[in-house]
Amino acid sequence: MLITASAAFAQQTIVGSPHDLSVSGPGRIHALYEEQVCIFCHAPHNNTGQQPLWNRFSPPTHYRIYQSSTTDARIDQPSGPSKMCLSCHDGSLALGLVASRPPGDPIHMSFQMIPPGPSNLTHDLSDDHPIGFRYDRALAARDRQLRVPDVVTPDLPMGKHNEVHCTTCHDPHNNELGNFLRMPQLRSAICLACHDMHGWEQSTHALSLARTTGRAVDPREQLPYHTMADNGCLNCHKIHSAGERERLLRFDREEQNCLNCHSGGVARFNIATEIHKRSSHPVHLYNDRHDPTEDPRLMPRHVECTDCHNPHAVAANVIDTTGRPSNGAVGPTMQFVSGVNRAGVPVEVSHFEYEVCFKCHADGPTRSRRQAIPRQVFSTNTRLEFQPGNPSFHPVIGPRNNNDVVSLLPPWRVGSVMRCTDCHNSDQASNLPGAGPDGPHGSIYEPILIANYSTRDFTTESAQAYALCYRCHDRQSILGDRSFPLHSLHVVRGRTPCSACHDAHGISRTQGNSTNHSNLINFDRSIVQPASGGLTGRIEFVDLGQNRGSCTLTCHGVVHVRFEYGR
Amino acid sequence: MRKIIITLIALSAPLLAADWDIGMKNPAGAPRPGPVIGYHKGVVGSVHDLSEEMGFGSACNTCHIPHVQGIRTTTQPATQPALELFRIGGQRRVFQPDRYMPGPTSLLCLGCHDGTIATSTMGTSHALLSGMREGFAVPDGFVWRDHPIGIPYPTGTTRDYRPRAFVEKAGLRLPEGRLECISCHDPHNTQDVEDMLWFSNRRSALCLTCHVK
Repeated sequence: MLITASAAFAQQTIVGSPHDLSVSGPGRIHALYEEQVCIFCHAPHNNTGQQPLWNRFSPPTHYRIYQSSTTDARIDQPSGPSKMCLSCHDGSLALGLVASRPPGDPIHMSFQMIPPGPSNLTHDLSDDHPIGFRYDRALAARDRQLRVPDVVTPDLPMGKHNEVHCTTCHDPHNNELGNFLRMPQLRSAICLACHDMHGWEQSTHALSLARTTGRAVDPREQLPYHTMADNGCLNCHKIHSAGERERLLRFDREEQNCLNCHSGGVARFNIATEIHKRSSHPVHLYNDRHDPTEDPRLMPRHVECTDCHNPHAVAANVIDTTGRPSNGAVGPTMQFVSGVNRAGVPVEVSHFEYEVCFKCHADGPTRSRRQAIPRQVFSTNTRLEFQPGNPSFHPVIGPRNNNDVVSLLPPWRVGSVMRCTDCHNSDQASNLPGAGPDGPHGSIYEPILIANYSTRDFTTESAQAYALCYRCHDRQSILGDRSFPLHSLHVVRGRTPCSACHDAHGISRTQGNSTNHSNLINFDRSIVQPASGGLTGRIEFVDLGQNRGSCTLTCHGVVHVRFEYGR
Repeated sequence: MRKIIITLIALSAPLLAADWDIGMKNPAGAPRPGPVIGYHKGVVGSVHDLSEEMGFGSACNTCHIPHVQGIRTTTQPATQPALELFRIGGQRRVFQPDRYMPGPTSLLCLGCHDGTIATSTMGTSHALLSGMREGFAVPDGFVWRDHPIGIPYPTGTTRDYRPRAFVEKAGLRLPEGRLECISCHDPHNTQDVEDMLWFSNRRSALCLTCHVK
C-alpha cells in the first residue's frame, strides 16, 4: 500500500525531481546516505523555528541586486522565501548543512556546495529577474507595461506585501512544467501574466512561426521550443544569468540578440550584411549606449537596433510602401518607438517616421555635422530643413503645393507626402519587392540611399547616374526641359550633377528665403563659384516666377551675371 | 507484586507481540540482532524502556502506572510539561491557548520531552524546547521549532493535504482528528522503525502521506 502510494506521488511531486536530494534522487547533486527528501529544507523537529519548518540557515550574504534605468520598482535585498531558495542557490552554504543535525555532522552530499552552472545564481543577482520588490497597484500605475496586480493569476503567488519572490514563478515542490515553474513558458504565458508590453500581441516576434531550431541559442542555454512564437520572450531574454544585465538579454552586445535571428537564419532577411555595407547605420560599432529613457537632446552619439525598432511591438510591413506616397505614418516595423516631433519636442511614441529619424538627425548635439556637399547655406538639422514653412523642401513633414514640379511620376503628384525611407533605404529595396530588407540599415550608395545618386562634377548623365532622382522625377520630363528650360544643357551637355544646384532636403527659412532658395536651389560651392566682375563674390539665384529665374555665378568656367531664363 | 506483573502482561498483550521475555533488554551498544520478531520490535528494550534506569518494574512503568486510581490515570504525564515557556510567536498556529493545545496524548510525551527535565540526558534532540539544544543560540525565550501539534487535520477540499481517511488508512493516527505526537511516532516501537515512526520515512514517505508536495 505504502509502496504504491509513494510510487504514485513520485510522478508529479518533489520525489524524483531535481529537488529530490536524497540518495535516490535523480540529479548529479544528491546525498550519499540520507534517504529522506524533505529533510534538506524542512524538519519536523529541531528546525530553525522559521516557517515552514525551515531547516536551513539563512545566508548572511549581501547581494548585488538588479538595477535598470527602466524599472519603476523599488528593488530590495531578497527576503523571506527568496532568501530560503538562495540558501542553496547562491552557492555560499553547504547543501548538507541543516538545522536538524548537529553542526559538525552535516548530511554528506555528492557536491558539498551547489556547483557552478545555471542553478548557481551566485551573489550577483543583477543578471537575474528582480525579486524583493512590491508589485502593487502603485507600481502598475508607474509602469504602464505591467498589468494591475489584481488581474495577475493566483497561480503566481506573491508575498504578504505583494512582493515578488522566487516562489512567485517557481514552485520548489512541483517540476511538472520543468524548471519548477508554476506556469508554462510556451508563448511566454508565465511572463505575460505580469508583463503587458505595448504592441506585443500583434508583433511578429510574438506570432512568427519561423523555426529557431539550432539557432537563437547561446552556449549556456538552449531555447525550449522550436518556433519564434512558442519561445516568445525567451528568444531574446534570459531570466537568470543573462548576458546583458540591465535588459536581461541573452547576449551582452545588443545587436547580437537581433542578428542572432536576423542574419539570414531565422528571419527572412539578412540585416548583418546590410550594416556592413559601404554606408550604414553601424549598430555594431556601439555597445551599451542606447537607453530607452535617454533624452534625444542629451544622449551620446550612438545607433543601436532599438533606437529605431521596438522588438516588443515590431511587425512586418505587409504592403511594401517604399517609393509610394503615404501619409508619412510610421510603419509596422517601427511601432512604439520614441522620437522627436516636428517642433523638436521628444515624444514617447512616434507617429510619423521622420520623428524617429529626428532623434539623431535633427537638434541632437552629437549628430553628424559632416558636410558631404559644401552648400551655400549649410545645415545638418533635418528637422529645420524639412519644415513646411521653408522656402523649399522635399515634402516629408508636410505636403508642398509647388506647381513648378511637373516631372513627378505617378503615383507621385504635387501635394504627395514622402518619407525619409523613400530615399534613404537599402539598395536592395529598390529591386523587386521582397528581394532584400527595406529600411535604412545600410546601402552600397552613400548616404544609405536606395539608388545611385552621383554628386561628382562632370558625371555623364544616365538613368543610373541619378537613379535616386529618377525614381520619382521623370527623366524624360527633366531632360525635355519641361520645367527649368536649361536642364538638358546643364545635366547632359554640361555634365553637371543634380546636386550642383539642388539641395535634396530643403532650405530652412532661418537660413534662406524664397527668392534665392526656391525650387531646392542651394548651390554646391565645390562646383559653383562666385561670379567675377561687378558682382564679385556673389552666388545668387533669383526666382522670377514659374519656371523663370536668373543666376549670378561661375560654373564650369562660364560666368553668369544676372543670367535670366524662362519658359 | 505478582499481581502487578500479571496486570502488566494483560495490559500490554494487545499492544505488543506475545513471545518476548519480559525481563530481556537489548544490550546497550550491542548491534541489533537480526529480524527476530518480538526481540527488537516493541517497547521492551527500546529507548523508551527505562525500567533499568528507574530500577524497578517493567518497561511500561516509564509512562504507565497501574492501580493507582484516584491519584492519576494510567496515561497522565509523569510531570507537567512546561508549555507556558513556549513562545507563541515562533509558530503562530501552535499553542494558542484558546484554540490549539496539545492533546492528552501529546501532553504525555511532552511530560518528558519538553526539555525541562533531565537536561543532561534529554537536552539534545529529545528536547522540544530549542533553548535547551546544543548548537543553537536562541535570542529570547524558547521558540517552538517543531512540527505543530494539537492542530486539527485539514478537512474539506485542499490542494495541499491528502484526505484524513487516506492518512489513517496509511497507518498514521489522528486522534480526534487532530495532529499529535502519536500521529507520526509510535512510542511503543511496534514497527521498530527509525525515530520510532509508524513506518519508515525513507523517501519522505511519511511526510508525503499528509502533504501533497
